[in-house]
Amino acid sequence: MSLDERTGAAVEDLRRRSEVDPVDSLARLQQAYHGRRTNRAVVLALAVVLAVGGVAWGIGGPKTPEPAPPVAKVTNSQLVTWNREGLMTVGEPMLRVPENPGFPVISFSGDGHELLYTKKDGRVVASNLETGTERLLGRCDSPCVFAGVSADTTQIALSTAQVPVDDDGLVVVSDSGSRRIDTPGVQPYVPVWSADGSRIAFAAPQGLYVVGADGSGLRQLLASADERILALPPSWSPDGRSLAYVRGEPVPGEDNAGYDAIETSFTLVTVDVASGATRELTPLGTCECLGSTAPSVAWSPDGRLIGFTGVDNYTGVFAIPAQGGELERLSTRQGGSSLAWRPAVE
Amino acid sequence: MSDVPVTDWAVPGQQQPPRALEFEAFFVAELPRLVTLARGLCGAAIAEDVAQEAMLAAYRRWAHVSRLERPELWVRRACANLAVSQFRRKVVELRALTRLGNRRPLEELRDDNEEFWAAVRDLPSRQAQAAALRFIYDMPIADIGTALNCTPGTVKQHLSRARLALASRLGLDPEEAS
Repeated sequence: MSLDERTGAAVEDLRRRSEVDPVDSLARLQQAYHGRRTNRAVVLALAVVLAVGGVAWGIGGPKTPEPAPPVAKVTNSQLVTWNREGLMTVGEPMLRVPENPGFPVISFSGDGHELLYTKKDGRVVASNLETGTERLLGRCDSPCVFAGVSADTTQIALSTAQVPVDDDGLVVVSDSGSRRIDTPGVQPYVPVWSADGSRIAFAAPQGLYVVGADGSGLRQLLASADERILALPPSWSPDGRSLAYVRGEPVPGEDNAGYDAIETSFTLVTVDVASGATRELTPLGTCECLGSTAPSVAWSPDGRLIGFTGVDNYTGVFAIPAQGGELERLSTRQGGSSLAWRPAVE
Repeated sequence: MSDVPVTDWAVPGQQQPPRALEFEAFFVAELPRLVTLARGLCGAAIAEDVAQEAMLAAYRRWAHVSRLERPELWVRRACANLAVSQFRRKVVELRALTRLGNRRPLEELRDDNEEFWAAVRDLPSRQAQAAALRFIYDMPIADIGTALNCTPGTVKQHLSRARLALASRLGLDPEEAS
């Protein structure tokens, strides 16, 4: 069989077996477009389920917070990024690294012993890097693609894009129950906890935001130049005063009329959370990022450096002083759209 | 940067805007092959959702899209871009799970045809998009260029490389005529 014959057969098979009912699909599209009201019955049911913490959150559950330990010295250990091939470690190989987490949102526990991520089956787990033992933190009925776990692993924040309600916001779940954080008109993507667990930062199509873990003080720190630009997760400084953020700008002159894929020039910036003051550190490259990973960023545990993965001419894994300065290339391998820096606590 | 002077896919020199289409007729006519395109580029599991998301984008912008000379190219581009964008697809998957509910899954392809489309999905994004648009719609080179915002020369290059890569992957001679 020639390539043309093979192609023809494959196309015919694909067409024949991809039939859908356009009338039914149109009804659902219109419902999706017009049905923006909160489904109160569903919200109440969800609240009950989450408050009970049983059905939706499975066994184990998040750890009960322990008293704060004495101040310890924190240094930087490995960087980990998730790309198509799985988890990639920059630095000394870790003993027990999961092969491939389900979704590209990874972080470390505050003590550096566990990698926190979501498996493909919707379980949010803490994987011990010395023993390989997995501890179940929670389970979502739908995959927890945008699950942010606090450093002490006691709280999980989810974007409401993952739960059956139409209102924008976050749902925070812990041993003591669940609570909603409303972000009207702003759809959070990946929520990221400050080290002390008191605040959550997130990127949305509208820009960069921060909110108290109790839902208070929602503020926009940066406005997005274009809502089609990828809303990439920020990274907190260890002292909670700043955020490292991948800011995007549409490339001038490009015909960006297409849906949701625009040529974007990315820049690593830091943002002072109190004042909103922004400092540019380095370009991160330019791409539409179709089929490829987008830049990612991770503040070092000791606060001195910011690690990042770039695109285009900045492909690889890099570090730059948090106050600005020369880049150091840590790896030429392409990083992924999630980056985490492991702390070593002495 | 494209050197094709394309703006909203309007025909240069056209005096009158095209007659506004009814969205419903557009949707019914375009959706089936849009699902096919999405399936070719991202697999059966979310093909309907990706196509639906592209149509939803068109619906939201219908005042603009309906006045384009080729609104079907706009939505095919939207679908093709969404289908190959891993990050954006995750958002589609989430919204699909919560919004569109359970549906009858698409029929499975024959093994050898599934292998073919898996090979297409493994191509670099632009090659995969160009190949899928060519195969599924039998689209002219110029239209593919319009949809993907690149020159006809670039489209030919994408198609040529895609052909070589597919032939190599499938163990076929790219030059052998059917």
